[in-house]
Amino acid sequence: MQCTEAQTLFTDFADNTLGREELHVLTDHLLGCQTCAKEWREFQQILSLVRNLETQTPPADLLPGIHAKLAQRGIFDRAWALVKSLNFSLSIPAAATIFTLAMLAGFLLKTSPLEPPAALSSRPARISAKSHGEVLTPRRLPIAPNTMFAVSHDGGSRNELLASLAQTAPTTRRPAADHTPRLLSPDIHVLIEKIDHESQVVLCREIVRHNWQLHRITANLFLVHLPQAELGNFHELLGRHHYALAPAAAAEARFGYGKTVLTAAIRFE
Amino acid sequence: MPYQEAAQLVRAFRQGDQQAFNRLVALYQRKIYNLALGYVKQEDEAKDLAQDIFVTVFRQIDKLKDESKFGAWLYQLAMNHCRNRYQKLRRRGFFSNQSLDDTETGLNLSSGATPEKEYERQNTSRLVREAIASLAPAEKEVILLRDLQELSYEEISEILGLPMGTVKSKLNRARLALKNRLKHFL
Ligand SMILES: [Zn+2]
Repeated sequence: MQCTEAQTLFTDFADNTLGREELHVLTDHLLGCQTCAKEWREFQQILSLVRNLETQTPPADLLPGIHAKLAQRGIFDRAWALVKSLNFSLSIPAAATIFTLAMLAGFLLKTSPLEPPAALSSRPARISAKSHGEVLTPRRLPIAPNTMFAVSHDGGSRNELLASLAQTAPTTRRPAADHTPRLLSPDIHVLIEKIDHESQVVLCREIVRHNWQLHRITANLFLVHLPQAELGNFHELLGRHHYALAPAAAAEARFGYGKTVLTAAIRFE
Repeated sequence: MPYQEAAQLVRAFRQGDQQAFNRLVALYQRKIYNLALGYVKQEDEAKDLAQDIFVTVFRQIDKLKDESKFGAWLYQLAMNHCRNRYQKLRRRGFFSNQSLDDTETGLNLSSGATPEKEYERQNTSRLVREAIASLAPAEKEVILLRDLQELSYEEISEILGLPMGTVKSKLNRARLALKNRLKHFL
């Protein structure tokens, strides 16, 4: 047996998986070859050093960091980039609105961040289903990254909050029979510009005062669940600020008629 | 590997349970963080890399066909992330001040230090870690998966998409290479 050949068998030798014949030939070689005997000793030593390496404890902020990354790079920002790229103070033709919604819904449904948005615009059927409060995708249940960052102001337990948020409707208002899973995608996108911190706090307090469920997603992104019937009041609150709405139809009080609860995403800029 | 627990969590996560994702992270973060650390060596990079891996898990969970294969899927995804990050860092010269990265130079000794002194000065596990990190990616991967993550040959073969015989011979070569880098310190 050649030295190089002997050394190719070291791992099998260490694993004790050599056949009888090979084992015999290798041990014979090791007994007669000082070089390979030394190599084998070193091999064993290194192997035990490597195997005895202790694993390091991951940093404590690993999970929070994952949440932050999901929020940062997540679907919300992408959706907002699209919202912002359009000027909502102008009236948008119906077709364009549907297209935008298709894009947004597409983004909110995507699992892969890499697919081009162009591929998403051809799904108007889903959008019309959405506006009637139906389930968007029966198979894919609500796992929008934002749901994990929900923080409520009503003092309920975290699990309940997450569950209620995932169901879109506030727990107290959800009809008992409504267990249909719904995609957590906002019905309405609101962009409030030029608002100072104090006014933000006032607005949040007003929302809570109306008994609408408020979730803080990031420092300047909030989700509000409100009964469709109270959309007019919501408009009234917004009217005190410089804001833009998407889709354009959401500016009307009867928007989302037929749905019990609407979800609005509010972004402060 | 807690296969059943992972499969249950994956199922729950797919059904919309956000906490299940957090528990999956808790279950695997030590393994994935250490894998990343073994690959890129530097702690901040390893943390960032591990986070990116779990972000991808979150986003692509629907691509996993068989829930019971979550472990292998996660490792495949992790290996891809590690390779890409390694290439990116390498291009940026991240490893250039580490002569360990060069297969021929052996361990990085400060000037005038004898191997013995260096060995005394630095702790063994750090040396071993550095030596592993300095291996070529293909060698490093089998060492990390087999000797640090303690996966079976079958699992490694599935993760790397290589026949078991190839995994074994790669592992043997990798261990010999590691030995050659570290033998002055034995
Ligand atoms: Zn020999």
